[in-house]
Amino acid sequence: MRLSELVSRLTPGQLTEIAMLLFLAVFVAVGVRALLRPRTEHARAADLPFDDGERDGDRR
Amino acid sequence: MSSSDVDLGPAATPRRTETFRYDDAIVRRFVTATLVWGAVGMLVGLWIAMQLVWPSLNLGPYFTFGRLRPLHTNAVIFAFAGNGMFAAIYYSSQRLLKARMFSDTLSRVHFWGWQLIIVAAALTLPLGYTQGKEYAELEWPIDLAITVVWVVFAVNFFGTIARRRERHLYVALWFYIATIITVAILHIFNNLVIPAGPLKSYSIYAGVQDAFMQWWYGHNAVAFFLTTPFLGLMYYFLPKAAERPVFSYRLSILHFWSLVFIYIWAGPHHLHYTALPAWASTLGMIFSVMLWMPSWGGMINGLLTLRGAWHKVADEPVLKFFVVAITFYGMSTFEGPMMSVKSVNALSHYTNWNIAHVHGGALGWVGFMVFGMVYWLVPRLFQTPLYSKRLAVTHFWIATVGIVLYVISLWAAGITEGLMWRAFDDTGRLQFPDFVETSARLVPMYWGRMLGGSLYIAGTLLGAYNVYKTWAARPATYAEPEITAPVPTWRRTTPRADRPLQPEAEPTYWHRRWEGLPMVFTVLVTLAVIVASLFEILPAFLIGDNVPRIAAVKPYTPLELYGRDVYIREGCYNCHSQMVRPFVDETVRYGEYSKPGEFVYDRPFQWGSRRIGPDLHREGGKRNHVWHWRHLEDPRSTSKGSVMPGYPHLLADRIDFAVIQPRVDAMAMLGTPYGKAALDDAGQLARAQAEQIAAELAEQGGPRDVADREAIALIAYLQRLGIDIKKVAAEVAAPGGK
Repeated sequence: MRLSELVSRLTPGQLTEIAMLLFLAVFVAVGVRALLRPRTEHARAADLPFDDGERDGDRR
Repeated sequence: MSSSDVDLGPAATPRRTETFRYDDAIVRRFVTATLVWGAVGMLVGLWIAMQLVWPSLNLGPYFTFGRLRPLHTNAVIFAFAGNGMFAAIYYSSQRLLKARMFSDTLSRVHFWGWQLIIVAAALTLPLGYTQGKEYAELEWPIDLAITVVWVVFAVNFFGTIARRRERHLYVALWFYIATIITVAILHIFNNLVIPAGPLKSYSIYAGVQDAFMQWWYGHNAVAFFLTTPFLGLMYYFLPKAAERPVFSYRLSILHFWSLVFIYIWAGPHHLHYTALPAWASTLGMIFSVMLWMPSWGGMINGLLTLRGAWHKVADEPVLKFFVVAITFYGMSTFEGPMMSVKSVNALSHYTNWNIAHVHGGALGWVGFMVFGMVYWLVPRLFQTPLYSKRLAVTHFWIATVGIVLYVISLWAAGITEGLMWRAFDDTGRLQFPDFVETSARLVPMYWGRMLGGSLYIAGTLLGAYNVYKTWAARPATYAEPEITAPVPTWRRTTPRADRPLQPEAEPTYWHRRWEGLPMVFTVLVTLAVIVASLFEILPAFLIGDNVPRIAAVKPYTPLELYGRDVYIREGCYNCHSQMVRPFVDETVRYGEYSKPGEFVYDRPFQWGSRRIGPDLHREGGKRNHVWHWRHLEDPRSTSKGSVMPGYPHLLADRIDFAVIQPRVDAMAMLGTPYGKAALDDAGQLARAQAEQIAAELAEQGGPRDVADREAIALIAYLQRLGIDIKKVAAEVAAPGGK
């Protein structure tokens, strides 16, 4: 079956619904996984801008 | 770069380290270019704002509104914001990755290549070389150059990631990756054209599909050129300036993925109530409204990063700029989704409300993020204190007042004209039937805009002066401190028996693993963007009855095609739409609403996004040739109070008949069904039609012997607009369409 035939068999509404469901699933997965983890896991990552080997504050 | 060992103390195993230096010379170049092009781009913006009040400032043929407006938008987007973005990326990426840029040569090629592209834009746009698509005006050779330079940038960036000494990719880098990947995709697919000359091309898409692709590109240029890199900038420079980490790293994960996934769908909201299929329009609206969520998540994350540091905002101009920038980000990302709601859009579309919205984002969000970054960077880059903190604070206040004046003026202008266009009197007639009435009513708001814009530019010039004076006080030679960092454990090196590489604890958390795997991360970003795009693009192209064919609609004649190219060259689409929406006020004012099938030969589409002048889709046959001739010569001779530039040069310039055949051939190659006569000698057909129109013009009391003038070709095009469906009753072909 050609792609154009496949797409034409679906209504735009159905395509939209599939897209929305796909988005929702990805978003929920990312959200749940991100929020279930303790904040401390990200502490080092969040500090990376300050770990560049340079001393800030002495050239202002 | 050199290698050594570090003794971590008696209990620790020594780890091998490397020393290296950051390349700040390239950042200094990009910062300088940012300020220079920013001033130029904003001054051009002020000039075209003044042209709307004083049309005599349209200095033809090269400095008319239609030719300068694309120069302004390209300069502020790609030159000012672009160079600012590159400065941010080059500075922060090296530090976040603990590595010098992959190649100094590639850095220089990127910088000079980008500046050459800007110069090429500054030359070609006033000369009238344009693809006629907003924010994608540059012609195909420059588009190719952009592709090459972008690839150079990408190789340099990803090469640096490959050589990094920090396993984790900080959130700012995710936004940079999304920018590089998505801008490449957008640029390539929106600029697919068939060349019809050294600086002339036709889009491979036509009509509805071209409009769809253009606003898929246009909206996502806002998303991935003016938003994601500046969010990366925010996530790096705001913590640095506030001296505290980002409020929530978890929220940044949500912010990033939801933004990348949602933004790409929202483009069709630029085409509400046009000939775009309703399903696409609705999809664009829904995803636009959903954009509130990640956008405000990012804004909250930014503002809460300042928790416990708000006292610094009072004293630190950098933080002042950042706070207002993030606030404008929140305002713009509230206003944008609101304007994408169809009922709001029905009023706001084609009005100055759009311009207010765009400038709230561009001046408030992008501009202030750039200036905040510049003020933070300059003392570090030039290794001397900022020349004047007081000047920086003055810049901040002048610019803030300027933006507010600007935006409020154009909000008022947009709502005013939107309401005037749709107003009916008690007798059921349009209350303001003459379009010029609305133009005249806007003049006080245009004054407010000019004042606000002037203040903002004055602030920019103050900032540039402050940076110049700081630069002037720089040391004779810049210190280039050596940075020491452990050799990454994942690099393939042979450990010495007495100095084993100390294994890093493997990150187990799923997202942390992705962040340590840049290729996987990049592929996931690419997938998110492509999947979302395909869900919209494939149906738009593959469902046949999206664009029902109308049998009466025929290709433009060779002369009309040439006239259309004159229309595009002069940038008429910057002020005139060609899309009558299905609203009573529009059908009463302009005529039958526009149908998708009427645009199947329009390469590029010319629906426009703003009505400084009236819609032209049903212009054909409304007025005689001599009216058009006089209108082009001096618009105010036929339309008192019009702000349109005069085009007297079109009355004198000769039609270049030699270029018509290759243009017809290019259109034929794209599928336009030209007959044998046009394919054999399009020039002759054009001459014959020009002679006929010139004769009719003379009969109407116009000048004689002007069949070879460009105005004749333009009149031929204008008289053709929207008349095909008037000739024969619309005949919708069977589904399968084009």
